[in-house]
Amino acid sequence: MHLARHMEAMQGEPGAEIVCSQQWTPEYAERLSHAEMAIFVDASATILPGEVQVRAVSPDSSRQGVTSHSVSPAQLLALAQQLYGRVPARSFLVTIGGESFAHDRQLSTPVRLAIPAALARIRELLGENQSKKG
Amino acid sequence: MGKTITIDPITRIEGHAKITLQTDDHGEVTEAYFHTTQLRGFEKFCEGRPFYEMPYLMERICGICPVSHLLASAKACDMLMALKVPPAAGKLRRILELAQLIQSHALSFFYLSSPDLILGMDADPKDRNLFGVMRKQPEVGRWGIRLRQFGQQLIEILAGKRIHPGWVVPGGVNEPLSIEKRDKLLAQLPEVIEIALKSLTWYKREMETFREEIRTFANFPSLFMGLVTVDERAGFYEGKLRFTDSLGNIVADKLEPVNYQEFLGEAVELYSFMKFPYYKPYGYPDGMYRVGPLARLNLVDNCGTPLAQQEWVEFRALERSAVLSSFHYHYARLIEILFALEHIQEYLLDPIITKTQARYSASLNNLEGVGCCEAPRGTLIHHYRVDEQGLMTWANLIIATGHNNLAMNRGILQAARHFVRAEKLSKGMLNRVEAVIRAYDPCLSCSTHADGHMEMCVQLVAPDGRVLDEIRR
Repeated sequence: MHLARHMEAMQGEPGAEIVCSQQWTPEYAERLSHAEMAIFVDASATILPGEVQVRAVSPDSSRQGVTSHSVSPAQLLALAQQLYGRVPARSFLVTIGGESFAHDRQLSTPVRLAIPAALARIRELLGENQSKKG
Repeated sequence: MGKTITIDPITRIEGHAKITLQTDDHGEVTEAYFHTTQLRGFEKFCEGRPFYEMPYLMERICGICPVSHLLASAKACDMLMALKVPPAAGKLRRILELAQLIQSHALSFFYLSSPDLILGMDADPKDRNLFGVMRKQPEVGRWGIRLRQFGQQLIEILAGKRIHPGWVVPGGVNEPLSIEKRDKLLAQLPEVIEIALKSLTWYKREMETFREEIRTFANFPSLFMGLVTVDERAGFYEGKLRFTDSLGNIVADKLEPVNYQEFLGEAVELYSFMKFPYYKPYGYPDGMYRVGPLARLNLVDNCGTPLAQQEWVEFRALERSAVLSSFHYHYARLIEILFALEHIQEYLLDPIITKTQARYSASLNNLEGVGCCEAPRGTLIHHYRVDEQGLMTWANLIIATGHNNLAMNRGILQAARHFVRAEKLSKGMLNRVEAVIRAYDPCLSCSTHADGHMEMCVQLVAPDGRVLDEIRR
């Protein structure tokens, strides 16, 4: 959310729609089906605090545990494909390792320090997409 | 030998709960208990806070129906300030509430309950979920997503964000509606009204395959309660409380919500964190009543909008008096979605909706305030007391799901007696018992004002503690 709001405050990226949401829910499937590329941004409790990971995501409905509260990027892409017949040509998940998941308005130090690197990776991905289109 | 069967957790509901079934020596279910297993504490930790913080604190009770808490709380604060809101703000608050109704009912019907309705109660749990629905009936899946999306977008356009918006304030709302936003919303309505109608047509056909469930899912006489307006419509944002019985007779009418303690009692049972409200004149537990979509459609003789009215007439023809089976909450939810869409259209076409006077201001003028509205799941009451400085000294909330607590307990007993055979458990049997609870669309996080994770395990346990049979996932 912090990254998305930061990008919004910087007046966004040309041609990119920024969506801030606490959860990925099935309602985003329709919006995804219209996108050329999707970049999901999330925090993780399973990688080192402050680590930035980027990996490609493909549609996958095989995982159990889908709920109306939260759907994974792969499941959301699978919903888009199943219901609307289309998914973005390229999709990525950018993950920052979190340190603290307690209630707080401030980011922890490792996460705060990782924000510029995460933003740089997102801009790289967007730039690559522009090059492919070009 | 008598056994105890536990369903823990109940799946595809909001919040955390379990069911315990007790059988006799012949394997017949004799008792059933619906346990709400989480405790939130909102009524306690708000003590000492300024009253004007309450709407923003209370809406965080829930992520699905925050608007209901926001509105009930704001109305209680309006009473503390002795304020009426400007006419435009009143209509905007009503639109917000109806928008939430749409997205909440869509979630309940299409995401949580349609796996049972489309794939069948006996389907493999691996498939009996949202993805299973999308594979088998993608069009129905798209309807559900679109309806939920519309409700959420409407909330976002009005209030700034979909979950826990801050737009409703004591005295009104903090921003009027622009003509551009109004026109954008009006343009979308024909499409979503069409989807609501298609959903009803589809469901009325599908319903025929669930005759046994209709007959046995909490199908019993009870009182019904809800808000009714002066023009005899279901009153989502305002009105006076009415009780009717299973024959459709009015038992009590024009009851002021501010006096709720005169006719509503709250009992406590050791096996659940959720309270047990009851209609005081009938005592506990005979004063059981139901609230929510089924109740609201039973309480009135007029649905109030043209297309929903036609559907309501057909719905009421299901039975000669009140519609009693809780399975029909699903049907009632779809009718309410249609009603809400038509009603939103009426409000948006009203010229005052874009008036710029959005809020009145005042300071503290009363030391006690009660706010009442109809949440998607039923009547919601927020009751506050403050000191001379406006700091909270006491709060009591009666939550929609709580009103249905007695009925849910009785409902699972009825279903379990019909479907469960203790000598051999099956997932389909237990899913039907869970499905009774789903029909009520409980919001358990609201009703106890937790976050917990429990492994899914159903065990047959002998009185001496031996595990006789077990199902895990």
